[in-house]
Amino acid sequence: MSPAAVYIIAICGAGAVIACAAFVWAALKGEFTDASEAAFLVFDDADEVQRTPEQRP
Amino acid sequence: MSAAAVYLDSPPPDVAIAERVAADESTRRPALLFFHSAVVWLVIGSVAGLIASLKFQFPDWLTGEAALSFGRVRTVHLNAVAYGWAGMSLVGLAVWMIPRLVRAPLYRPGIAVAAAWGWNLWLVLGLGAILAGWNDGLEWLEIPYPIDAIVVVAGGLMAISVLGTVARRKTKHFYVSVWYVLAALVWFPIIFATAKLPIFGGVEQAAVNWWYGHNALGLFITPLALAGAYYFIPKVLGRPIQSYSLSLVGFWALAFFYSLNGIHHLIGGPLPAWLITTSITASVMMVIPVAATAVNFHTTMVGRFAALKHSPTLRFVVAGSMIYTAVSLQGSVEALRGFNRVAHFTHYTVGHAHLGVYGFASLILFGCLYFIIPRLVDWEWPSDRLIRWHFWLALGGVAIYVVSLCVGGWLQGEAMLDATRPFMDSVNLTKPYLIARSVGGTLMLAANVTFAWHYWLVVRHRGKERPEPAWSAGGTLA
Repeated sequence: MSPAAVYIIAICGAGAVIACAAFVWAALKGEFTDASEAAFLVFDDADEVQRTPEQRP
Repeated sequence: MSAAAVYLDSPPPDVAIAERVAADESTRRPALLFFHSAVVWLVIGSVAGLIASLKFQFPDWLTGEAALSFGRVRTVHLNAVAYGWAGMSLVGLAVWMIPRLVRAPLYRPGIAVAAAWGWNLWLVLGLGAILAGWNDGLEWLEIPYPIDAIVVVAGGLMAISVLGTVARRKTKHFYVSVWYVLAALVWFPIIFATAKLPIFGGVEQAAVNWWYGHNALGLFITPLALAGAYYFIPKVLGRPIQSYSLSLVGFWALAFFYSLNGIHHLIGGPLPAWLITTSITASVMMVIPVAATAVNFHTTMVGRFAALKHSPTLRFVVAGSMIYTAVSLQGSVEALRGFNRVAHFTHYTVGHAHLGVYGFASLILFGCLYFIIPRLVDWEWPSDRLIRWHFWLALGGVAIYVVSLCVGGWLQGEAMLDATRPFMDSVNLTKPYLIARSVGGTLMLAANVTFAWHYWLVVRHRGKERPEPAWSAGGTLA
């Protein structure tokens, strides 16, 4: 096996570990439970979309 | 982050507004610097693209200077629009959006400003090197290796600022856009640094090159653009995304399937068959995240399509998200061996790439900027007419461009596979389609210049002061 192949396998392996760790971390932190709560995070001000610059806080 | 700093995702309204105002204030300088730079690169990249396209009709035009030859101008176009326009505006979008979504001011805004200057320096030196004939000779990775060190530093600074902000979050959950942004900011440095390692040669280098090339689109541009769509569609409509759980399925499916896609660019090449088959399989598996995202975006819009008449943000973002569905499914089909055999090495691929970067990502970005910029500069977009022109020129231009190249590219591929026809047949039959490509490119350039002019007006507080926002239901863009 060439050195380049070893590098790329190691890098991809590390990437996979990061991805799996992120997934497990998310599950343990409760990101997938009551997830629909998070859907409302985009709303902080019901009127923001309709306000002019002068009217914005 | 201390547990005491976290509250449920619905703080009192006055607190939520105060936090949003603080978040916007913290992002104003770095976000504007990213956006200003991106618009300049958009115009530069578009002009370079049109010059390259016109050279198919006028091959003797601008041949006196090596810097203006097709190979260099076309490469400048790719790098200016991919890393200058799309890259800088998407990072600017992330800088602006993340503090709002985690309800915390941007961490060390000065670091993000330094990152934006570093990113610009990288592009100025990199594109200058390409024009001077110095490049690494790999698609999407042309900027020379030593100059790339600058963007590694800039990207690291950006990561410090964004991750520092997320570490100080006050929300219990990550909104799905935060997932996409964080993932893109982790993925991009990994794939970029890996592809730039000076250890690959021959077939290995080709494999790594296309692994990177496709992932630059799928693991950097796509997740950041989707993050914008997931923020602005519900925001402007005032209704949450149809299925939040489905949005998470879409994110994790993209995370697990996308990274193998790039090798389908080498179907028929001297690579192990299992590697190519794995890539084709992953490409087809992309139907899962794409379907999850498409269903979510489009069902959220059901019953609200009238809002497209009033909101430039929604109009651009929804058009971009619909094109995302189309270009992704087209990509999955293109990866199949039978289809790829004809379409590969033809103009078809160029059409597909423009549908992705311009039709999908750029339209979403334009929509995001129509919402963000008035909030950063405290001035409304002065002209509905310029917004209308921008939209229809962009959509019409990319439609003409993509249809002509896909049809012409397919015919070109069939001609090349026909052993009874001379090779020149495959060249000559593309001529009318390449003219259409230049027409589409001209319209896209006109759209971009229109947008840049309007952008300059709003940033400089020029034009009439509006009594209501461009997206107010009281006005109409239709």
